[in-house]
Order: sequence, then structure tokens, then C-alpha cells
Amino acid sequence: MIRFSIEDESMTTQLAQDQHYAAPSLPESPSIPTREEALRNIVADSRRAPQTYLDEVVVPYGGE
Amino acid sequence: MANSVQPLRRLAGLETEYAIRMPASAASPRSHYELYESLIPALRQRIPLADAALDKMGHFLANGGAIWFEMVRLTGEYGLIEGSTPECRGPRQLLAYQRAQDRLFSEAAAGSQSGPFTLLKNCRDSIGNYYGAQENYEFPIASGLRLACWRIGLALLAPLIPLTWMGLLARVLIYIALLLVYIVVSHLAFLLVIPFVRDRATIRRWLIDGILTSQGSPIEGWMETGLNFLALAICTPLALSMYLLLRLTAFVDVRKELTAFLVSRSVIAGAGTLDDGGHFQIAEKASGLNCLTGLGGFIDDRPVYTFGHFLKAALSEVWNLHRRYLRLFRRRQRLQIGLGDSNMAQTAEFLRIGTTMLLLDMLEDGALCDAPRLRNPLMALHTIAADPSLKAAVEMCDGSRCTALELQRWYLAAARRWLAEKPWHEEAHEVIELWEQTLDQLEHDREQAVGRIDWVTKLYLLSQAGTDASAAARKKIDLKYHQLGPDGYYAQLEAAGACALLATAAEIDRASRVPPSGSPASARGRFIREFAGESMAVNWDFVLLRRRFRTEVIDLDHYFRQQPREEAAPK
Repeated sequence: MIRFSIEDESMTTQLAQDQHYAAPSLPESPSIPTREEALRNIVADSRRAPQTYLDEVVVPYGGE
Repeated sequence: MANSVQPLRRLAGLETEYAIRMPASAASPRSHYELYESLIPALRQRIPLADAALDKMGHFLANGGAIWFEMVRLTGEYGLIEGSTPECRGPRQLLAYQRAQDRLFSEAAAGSQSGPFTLLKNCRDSIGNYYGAQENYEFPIASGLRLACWRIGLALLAPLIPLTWMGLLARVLIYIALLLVYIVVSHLAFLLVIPFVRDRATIRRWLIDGILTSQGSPIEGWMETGLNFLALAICTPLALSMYLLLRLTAFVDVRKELTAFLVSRSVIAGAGTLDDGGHFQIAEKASGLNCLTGLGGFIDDRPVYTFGHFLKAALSEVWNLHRRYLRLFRRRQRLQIGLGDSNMAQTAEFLRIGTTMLLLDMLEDGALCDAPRLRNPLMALHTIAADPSLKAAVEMCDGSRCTALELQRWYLAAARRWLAEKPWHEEAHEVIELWEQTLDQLEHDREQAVGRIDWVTKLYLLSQAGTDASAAARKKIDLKYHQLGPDGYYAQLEAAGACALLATAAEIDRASRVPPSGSPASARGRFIREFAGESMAVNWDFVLLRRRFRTEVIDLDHYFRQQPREEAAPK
């Protein structure tokens, strides 16, 4: 017999706290770049082997 | 007559197809399907999963959502990873669940056993293939005489379903027979030509290995094409009949009153892209849509309003067919909209869902009946998408011409009037204020929309790249803007505080773990948490618990209807 109740909120809460499941990840780097730094990084990265990146993003068929 | 609909209470969900990017430098390149399979254990470490009880490879998550591997070719090598949020109420809740899904999948991909790979939340790959987002809203399929016609039509179509299934079964038998004949004939041919040729290895590879070992596929391309064509022919009578019925009866008022809104919605929700000629378009999927209504891929159709899920109810899950088909007789059904891009910017995603929900509320309330009508919606869609200046005017049925911003302002004013007659609703007013603010920014001070509206943000990045940037570098910006994880360009802007955030970290954390309340997802998610370690399977409507000698089928609708009213209220 299935013992399950829709009102049983405690089950969800308890399981949500279960250590078996990984905690949400935290940012690794404490340093936060400024908007200008982020823009410089993006522009510089976009010029690094762009064709290789494009070749890596190919979906061999169209989805929905 | 008004039905006194309350704002933002209907169920809504998003489907998102993610492109897979495997670095070319990877030590041992894997197929997309292998990458998907390696992602599942990594995802399972973050949240309990249950197998999907559908004719499709996938798993349901304990937060009520799902993950799928989308493919067309039977080889199963290449495809997309698709995520479905749980059924939510209100744009804020749905935004949080979409962001939770993005994060869960992205982190699982980064921790996959096959080596890290990344996902892109966009709608076009580097060579122009389309995929991406679908929106689903609960809405009455019809009312009055149209509803009666819909139900009568469904009853008349029912006999076609077993006939179609028998045809599909015969197709499988034909496939097995063809395979056997091919194996016998190829071996005989091989034996016959052995005495006359020197390069036996090539002949063997050509005749035999090709069918038995080619890329792990048990089927040759030509045979697969033939079988797919056969399946199409078998399904066509049912598909065509159902499509005609849907075209005549389903969501007719939505199509009449909301099409001009959806076509012009690209200005607030378009993700922007560089087309094949390097020209900037404000929406990714718009140029790929080729019809207003369709079954969504049945005959290479890419519709604004997708009816494919109605056909799937008759052509999938044979064990559950009677239940799924009977549910089509209900008045409230799933309205699926294929016109919409996957958003990185939270403001754009919130507005895409929130504005559409509000207008559906108005329509159901009988308060939206004189909306502008476009003379040629598809042409208007393509015109608006190709014009980042937002100055292009499209032709209306009455002969006048309107810009996309004018159309959006018409709907905004109508929504504001409707909402003024309702009791105060915080989230609905938030949608209205943000909608107006965004249209003002687009019209008068577009740079204010950077970090809020995707196409504006992407255009800004392209302008920062300078005129000397190569076409490939510009296209890389177009694509990597959508890469999930810290290296993606939107993610870098967000980390730098350049993007407006609407969903809080706490809301996203919660959405990564528990299902939304007041939704069929609540019971689904809780069953998965309780029975994930046992033999179970799940789909959108049912949970199957496999006991020793029997399978127990639990109808989630039963639990949903039993919920107290206060729990069903939107948060």
C-alpha cells in the first residue's frame, strides 16, 4: 500500500536537506570583474580561434 | 460575457532545447547521446530522478521537471538535450524554475563522466539549423459550438487510431524482414564476388560491415529514410484529419486576437542573431517559421501555434493511449507556442511569459476582442525580425500600417485597462510596469535595455567587437552569448553586475530541489522523492510503481484536484 500524503510537506523539506544531494554551487572566484573588464574579456575571447568554436556548435538536424 | 478570470493563475511551462558543445580538443570525442547518458548520473547526484514512461528517452526530476534526449535519426548519435520545466503559475515562478533547470543541467554537464562539455541555450547553431524554445499555456481549446465540434470530431477520429497503430506495427515487421533479407543477400553477394576481386576487405566493409557495425547503427541510411517515409505515409490520414479538426476548432480566438502580439513580441523577447549573410536579426527563430498552425515537424512545418502534442496523444504510449486520448475531450488543453526564443536575460524571459499570460487571461475573460489584425502575419514576423531599428511598419487588415512598438503599446494599454478593473495583483502590475519601461527604453534610450533584453545586449556586444572583427568572431559572439556556465558571454556580463536579475538566488535554489505548489508537478515531484530508489516510471499525468506482479498506475490529476484551495493559489 502506498503511504503518501499530498499534505506531507515535512517529507519534501527533510529530503531537500538530505546531504546526499549536492548543495548549490557557489562562485569560485571572489573577485568580481567590472562591466568594462567583462567586455574586454568577451571581445578578446571572441577573437580566439572563432572558427573552431563554430565547428563545435553544430546540431546535425533542426529541433522543434 | 466576462468570466472573472484572475490574473496569472493558469498553468504554464517552458520547453528548452540545448545545443551540445563538445570541445574539439577533447581526448576522446563522444556522440551526443553518449554525452547525454553521462550527464544523467551527474544530474542524479544533484536531484532524485525517475525514468520517463514515454516513447522518448528521458527522466523526470524531483522538482517536477524533466530532461530528454531529442533526436530524429534512429542512430541516436546526434541530437539535443531538452529540458521541460514543471507546470508553474505566474511568470516569476516559471522564471525561477527555468533558471534552476539551466543551472542543474549546466553543472551536471560540467561534472559529466565523459569529460566536461557545455550546453548552449539558443535557437540556431553555427550553420543555421533551428531548434530552441516552446511555451505551453493552459487554455480552453474552444467553447460553445466549436467545443462540441471538437469533441464530436475526436470521437469520429478514434477508429483511425487502431488502424494507424496496426500500420506502424506492420512497418516494424517490414523493417525486420528487410534487415534479414539485406543480411542474407549481402553475405551471398560477398561469397559470390570473393573469387573475382583482390580487395576483399573493401568489399566486406561495403556489403556487410556497413549494415552490422556502421557507427553502432543497426540500420542503413537509405533504409531508415524509407522506413521514415513509410511511417509518414501510415500516419498521414490520422495526422491530416486531426490537423483539419484542430485548424477549424482549436484556439481560434487566440489565433485571431493574439497573433499580432506574438509577432511583435520579438522586440522585447527576441534573442537576436546574425543570419547567414551576417545581418543582424532581432529574433533567432522568427526567420525559420513557415506557417501559422501546424503539427510541428511532421512535414518540416515550423508553426507559430503547434498542434503536434494532440497527435502525439494518439500516437505514443500505447499502454496509456485510452487515458491520454480521453483527456483530449477536456475543455482546458495545452496551447503550445513555437514562436519564441530561448532567453538568457531574465527581464526578457519574465516579460515573454508574463505578457503572454496576461493577454491570455484577458482573452479568457472576454476582454480582448478587437485586437489589431495583421494582413500577412508571417511576412510581418520576418519584416519585424529583420529590422533592429524598429522603424519598419507592417500592413494591417484595415489597410493601415503599424510598427512592432505600436502594436506592443496597443496590447499594453488594453492590459492596463483590464487590470485596473481587477483587485490589486502585485505580479501582474510588475509585468505591466516592466513592459512599459522596456518599450520606453527601446524607443528612447536603447542602451538602458542592455542586460535586460537579449537582442539589444547581443547587438551591444557586437558593436564592442569593432568593425575589424572577422565574420567568425562576430558569429562566435552570437553563439557564445548563450553558453551556460561561467565562460558564456551573457554569464560574464551577469557576473559583472551588468544584467538585471529578477529571480533571487533563494528562489532558484528552492526551484532546484522542490516542485512548485498548486500544480500537478507537486505530487509528481513528491512521488519521485519518495520512490526514486524503487522501480518506478513517470510521465506528465501518471506515476507507475512497479510491484512484483503488477504495476500500480497513479493518476496525478487525482492528487491535483484534491489540493486545498489555498495551496492552489499562486505564490
